[in-house]
Amino acid sequence: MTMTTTHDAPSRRTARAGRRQRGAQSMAKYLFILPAVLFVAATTVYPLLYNVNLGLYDAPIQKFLGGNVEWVGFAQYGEVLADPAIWKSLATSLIYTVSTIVFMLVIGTALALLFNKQFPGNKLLRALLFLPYVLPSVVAANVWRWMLDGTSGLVNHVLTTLRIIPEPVFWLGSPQLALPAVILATSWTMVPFAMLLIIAGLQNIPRTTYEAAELDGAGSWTSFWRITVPLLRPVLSVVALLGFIYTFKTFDTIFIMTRGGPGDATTVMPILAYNEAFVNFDLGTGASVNTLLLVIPMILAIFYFRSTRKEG
Amino acid sequence: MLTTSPLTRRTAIASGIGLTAALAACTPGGTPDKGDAGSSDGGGGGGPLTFWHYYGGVATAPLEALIARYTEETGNEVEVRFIPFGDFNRTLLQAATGGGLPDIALINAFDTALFAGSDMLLDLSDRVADWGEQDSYFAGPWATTRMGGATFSVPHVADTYALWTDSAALSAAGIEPPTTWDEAEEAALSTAGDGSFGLAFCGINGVEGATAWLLRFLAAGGDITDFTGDAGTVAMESFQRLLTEGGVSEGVLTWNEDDVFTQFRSEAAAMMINSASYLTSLAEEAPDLEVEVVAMPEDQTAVSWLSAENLTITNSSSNPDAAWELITWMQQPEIMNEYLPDRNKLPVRTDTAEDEQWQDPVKKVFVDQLDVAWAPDENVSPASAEIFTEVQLAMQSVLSGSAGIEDALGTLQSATDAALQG
Repeated sequence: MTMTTTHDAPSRRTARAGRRQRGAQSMAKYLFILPAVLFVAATTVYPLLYNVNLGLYDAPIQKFLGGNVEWVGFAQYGEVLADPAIWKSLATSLIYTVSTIVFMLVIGTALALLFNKQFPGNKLLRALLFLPYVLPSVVAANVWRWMLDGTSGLVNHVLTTLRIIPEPVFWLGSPQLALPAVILATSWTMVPFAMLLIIAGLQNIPRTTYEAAELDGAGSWTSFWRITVPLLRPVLSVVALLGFIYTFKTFDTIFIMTRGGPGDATTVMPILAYNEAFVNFDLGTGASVNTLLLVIPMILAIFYFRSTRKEG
Repeated sequence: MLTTSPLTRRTAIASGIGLTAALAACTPGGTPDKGDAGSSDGGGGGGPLTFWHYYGGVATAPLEALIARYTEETGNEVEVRFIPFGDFNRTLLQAATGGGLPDIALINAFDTALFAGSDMLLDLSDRVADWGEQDSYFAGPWATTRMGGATFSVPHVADTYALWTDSAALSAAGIEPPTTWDEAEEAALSTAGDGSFGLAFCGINGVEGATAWLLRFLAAGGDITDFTGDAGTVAMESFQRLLTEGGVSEGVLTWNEDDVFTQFRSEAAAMMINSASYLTSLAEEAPDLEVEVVAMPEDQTAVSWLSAENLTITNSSSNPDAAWELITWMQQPEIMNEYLPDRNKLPVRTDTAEDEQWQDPVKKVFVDQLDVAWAPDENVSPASAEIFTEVQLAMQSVLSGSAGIEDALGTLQSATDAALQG
């Protein structure tokens, strides 16, 4: 009798068992994250894709609620892009956002440099300055609306008393001044956010670097431009990026202060989307404006996550 | 033989997004099946009624007290939910799509045709015919309940706009309260000066800011579907004169109706165009201010503005009979006459308006304005918010000097035509 022994069967079995075990382990890993994935899918991905999809339909409220919306595909996006209102609102959004970021970075850096030094009342003042950021935006916007009022506003009172302006100015009623006014109000709420992160960045710069520069004869101005700014660049980039994403989608502050007016002077893209969807009840157009509104922050968000991954 | 390959991150993400995309790519819209209301109790109708409204601030308590009184008298429970005005239509719309509509929604009268046309509201025609009290209502508010020959709501309260005048300011200028728009312009110019203005009105961006200009336009014989006629030019020129000659403040373009009231109460404006909503506030905050309220100035015609709310039953109500019972209970003149003074609103029924309290000279001015109060008809109503928004834009562009009258009215006409075509 000849017995033949094969080693193939046990090794295949072992390999299969190993694969099964790895598969089970892999499945278990995904099961652990399933609740989080479902949550994100339900609260973020689904609404986002639903919005993109809705933008492909002619969906005034009557058709929408009647369930007989009409598929028009990308023609609706074409129509929205052909409307000068979208380009005007995009330009307004960009001016509003970029100006706010510039103010936020410049004033935030100046305040961070001040509060990075030790002086009596530092912590108290810093806490007070942080108030605008924690104040609900509805409150902050209303405060600014009253302060900028043309007839009884504090801003006019101060400026006319100091004879900086000869007569009261209707800040929020002027097509030329309304946008700078809402930029000012938004910057006021965003500066503390920048200040706090920049202070953290400043505290990470080694003291010895400044001492070495001082020994080499560098003055404060040179140290600021040659040491502080380059070493703060990663922090400033993150602040600018996050600030941009946050500011670009601002709705409440502008809606309360001007409702997008006068005319379309402060009609940023979120206001335009709101007007289309909930004033004109054209849900399809509102959805397509919303989708277009997402493009710029999404590109920046991808850029941000890529850069943080590289750092990691 | 089945083999198990490990799930990669890429395939997991792709599958997840694919599945979500497939769900999201379904044809959007449609309303849930009947009986899927927020008050749903399985369709049996035994649970509390749900009632949504947007009466905020001091207006919340009187409405809640009214509903509480109904519960006390009948034993029927009602869950009342307040939703801020700015969020109300959006919330209602979301509920109509996703389920959870209330049994009763108290909506803006001008939105009735829009929601009725969207198949959100129950047709109340048969119930109204059996009830037989429709002839007791003022014609204007009742007209807002109708669409396509059917009745979809019952008026709740109304408000009209009138001209409030500061008697001292007008006396100092040696003039009487104006009765025509020409006189109103003259009065505004005569009473302006020293940091104060003659006339205040709401001109802020959006729907609210169109009322004053539309009142001027309609008084000049205007038709809401035709802005390029003489009435449009007359109204624009009138407002332009008022601004350039100092009769009104540039601030009107930033003022909502509360701001207008503040200007008038603080004597920064000698006259204001506003509704009866501010009667109590004025009495409390400026008790010494002598005020005479007169009808809106006339031109080719006399016209005021209807601001009203209607009670509706949604088409997914699980208990429309109980909802109808509550609505009809709220219509009783004696009930409304106790409720209305707390709300600073006007009666919508002629029998309610016969009560002595409405003979008060100031209140009577507002009630009388109900006879000439304008509201969009059922063809214009669904597009009214869009048209009003465009009206404010046209007015703003002329008053700020960024467009000429002819161009602004031409743009307004194009936008109106587009809005009416849907």
